[in-house]
Amino acid sequence: MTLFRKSLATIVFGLLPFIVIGQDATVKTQSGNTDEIITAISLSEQLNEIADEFHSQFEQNPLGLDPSQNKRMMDLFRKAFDKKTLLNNVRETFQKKYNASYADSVVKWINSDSSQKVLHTKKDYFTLQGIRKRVVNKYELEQTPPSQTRKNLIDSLAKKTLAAKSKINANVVMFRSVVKAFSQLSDQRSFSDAQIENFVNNYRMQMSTQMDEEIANELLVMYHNLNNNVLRNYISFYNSEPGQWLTKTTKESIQSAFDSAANHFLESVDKIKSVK
Amino acid sequence: MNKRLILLLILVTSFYGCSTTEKATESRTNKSNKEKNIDFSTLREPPKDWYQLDEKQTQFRGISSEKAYQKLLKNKKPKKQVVVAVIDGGVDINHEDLKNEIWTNKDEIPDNNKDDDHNGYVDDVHGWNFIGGPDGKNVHYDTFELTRIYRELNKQFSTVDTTQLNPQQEENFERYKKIKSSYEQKVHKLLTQYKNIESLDQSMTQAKAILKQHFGDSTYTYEDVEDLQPTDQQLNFAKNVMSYVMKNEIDSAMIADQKKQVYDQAKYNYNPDFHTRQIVGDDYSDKTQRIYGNNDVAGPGPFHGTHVSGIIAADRTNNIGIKGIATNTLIMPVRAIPDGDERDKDVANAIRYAVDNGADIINMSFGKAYSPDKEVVDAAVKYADEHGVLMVHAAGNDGKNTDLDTDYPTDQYGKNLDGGTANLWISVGASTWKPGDHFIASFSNYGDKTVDLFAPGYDIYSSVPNNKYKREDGTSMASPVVAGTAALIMAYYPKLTAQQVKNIILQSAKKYPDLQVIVPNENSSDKNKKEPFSDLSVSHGEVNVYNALKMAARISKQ
Repeated sequence: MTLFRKSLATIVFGLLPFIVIGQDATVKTQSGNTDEIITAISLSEQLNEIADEFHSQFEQNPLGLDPSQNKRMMDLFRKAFDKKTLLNNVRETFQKKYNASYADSVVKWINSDSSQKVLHTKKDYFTLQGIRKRVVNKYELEQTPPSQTRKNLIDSLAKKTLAAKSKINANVVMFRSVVKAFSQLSDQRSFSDAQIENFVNNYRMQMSTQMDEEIANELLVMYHNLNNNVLRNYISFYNSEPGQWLTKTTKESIQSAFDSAANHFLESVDKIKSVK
Repeated sequence: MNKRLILLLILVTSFYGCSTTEKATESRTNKSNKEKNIDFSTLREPPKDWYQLDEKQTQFRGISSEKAYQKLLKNKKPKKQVVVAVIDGGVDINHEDLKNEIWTNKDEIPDNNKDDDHNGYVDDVHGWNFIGGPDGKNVHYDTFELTRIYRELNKQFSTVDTTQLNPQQEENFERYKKIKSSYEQKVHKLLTQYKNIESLDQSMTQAKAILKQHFGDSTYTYEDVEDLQPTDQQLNFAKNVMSYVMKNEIDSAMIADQKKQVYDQAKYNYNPDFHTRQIVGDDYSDKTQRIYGNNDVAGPGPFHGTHVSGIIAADRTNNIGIKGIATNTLIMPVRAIPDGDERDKDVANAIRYAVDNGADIINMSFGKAYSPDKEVVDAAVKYADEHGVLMVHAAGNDGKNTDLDTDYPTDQYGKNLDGGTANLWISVGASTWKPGDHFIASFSNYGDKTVDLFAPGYDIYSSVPNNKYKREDGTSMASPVVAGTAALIMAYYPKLTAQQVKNIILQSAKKYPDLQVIVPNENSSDKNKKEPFSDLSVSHGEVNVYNALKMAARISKQ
């Protein structure tokens, strides 16, 4: 072994722990940033609520499955679309789509005073007291409707964050999976793939007609006590490249999380079907 | 109950709303009406005074008080002026039908800012208000007891290290978990309720537009809607929505009212950050403190108390409005019940005030699921019991068996008084004008150990503030029917003791041995479970003034 070679080897081997440490630090930063972003924008809470709302609708058995079968189906749904699973999937997508520079900008933005106000308000919306306050805000908004400026601002926030699209997509994924599960479990009716897609398209259309308004109302209630300037400032970030990365990654992570949960759900339905 | 019953629109009036409707708003006291059989299944609204009518005379299953006045009291004069304390949210003492029937503290000189009678309360000319401050401000809304308990336990346990708890703390932690779970359920339910109302409102608007287009105008009837043969999805939707809406008489005013109720609950009743005691200015931690409040007996929301008072003692001689059940009876308003859950300390003090200032009867149309300072209420109830004051209490509007699930206050003393029971206590459930299996109001509590008897508590027409009158439902209305009955007996037979009056009311209750009724159960999936009416209360019956007065006459001669 020449000295050079030796020294190279020494350098290679000598550096290795540092490289590993360096990589570890990057992974940790990536994972830390991802978690910070996901937590700050209350993504997990949002997804959980979307799944919960859907569950409570289909828990009432609108498809007319045998009640015990419906209960079984919705129990499996609950397990597949649980908060932790959805969160893990979201985290995975965020890490796949990770861009260090954008993520750093997002984290910086998250920690700014004015963003904190908005994000704190958003977080509060999903807490127990936030749920109570929703009723208060809804009623007060009905009594004193928001100005056109306020409505425009909220519309702008909804559009820039693609909130309606994400929610429609998530609901469509859940709907398709439940109809498929129904078709498998029902003794009375089963549907072809084409029929299912037909139902899904109708469902998507129905959702599309009302979702923009629903999201706007939701955001009006959520940010009821925040003034326009704070909101305007917050929204402006979504025009930047890091902001657009955040929007895109968020949308994709939601889609991916629900797709993955739907697959798990249908797999578990398959299992009980085969036991049956 | 003073906390107004939230009737989820989905459940509203499903028992009482009928498709084809008839109004019978005029009194049917004359016999000729008996000839015509009333179709109760299609009757929408009974006569305003239905609850005072006699079934044999009119087919309406009332308490036969008018019959008693006609046949038993016609040539008799009352021998005593009876005082009924109404512990409630306030009474409009200037109401045209009540102003001559309000108790006056003759030992108190009005507005001189002095406690002339030395009872501790300054200028308590017509009663007292325990939920007001010395500056004249009043508590209107308050939290529910569940919220208050949650608030306190949450402070202690929300961040506690559960691995370091001693056995006592563990027990309290278990309680915290239960309370938290109940509180969470209630909060989530609020949002669901509000969304349901919103959704119905939107559907109603859409359906009306579709039907207007279909019929050409908005003059269509329920029958027109029912007869529709929809050929498309839209019309089918409109038919379903409007059939439901028209059948249950849902209109925009009702929707607005329901929304306001849910809003009030969210803003005040379930809000752990909402505090009221600074308004009263008492030392709330001192449960033995007696002297606080002000003399505003109406307060900001005297609707409920005015309705209750009218049932008991509205002026029978002025030929306006309504006739109270009792004559020669004065109402002593004692304000202690906010729009929310009453506080044990205020209830205890209100009972003591009533006793100390000469009430013969106390009407208590309120209740709650938790009573953290039960011992102070128990002591006050015992005080009333020992002083011969009859307490009449609404059984509650939760549609539950109170033998299994207590509603407070109760006649059962706690450990502090070594158990035992108050003797002079009557708990009253609500009945309806429906003679069939819907005879018990769907919301009424019941229990063959804890509910003494039933009394009309549905569609009860009585006085409300500003010289108005309105129909209301609740065991809140059933309780004053019994309080009024007791007052009437006491007025004519003053030598009877309160215990005798109670016994007479229970023993003379009208029985329906063969009647099977739907058991109220708001939490059960089996909404049509039936049981014998006689199994749902201690007395097995419904209060009947005619029978009671006859029995009182007999017993008073002994």
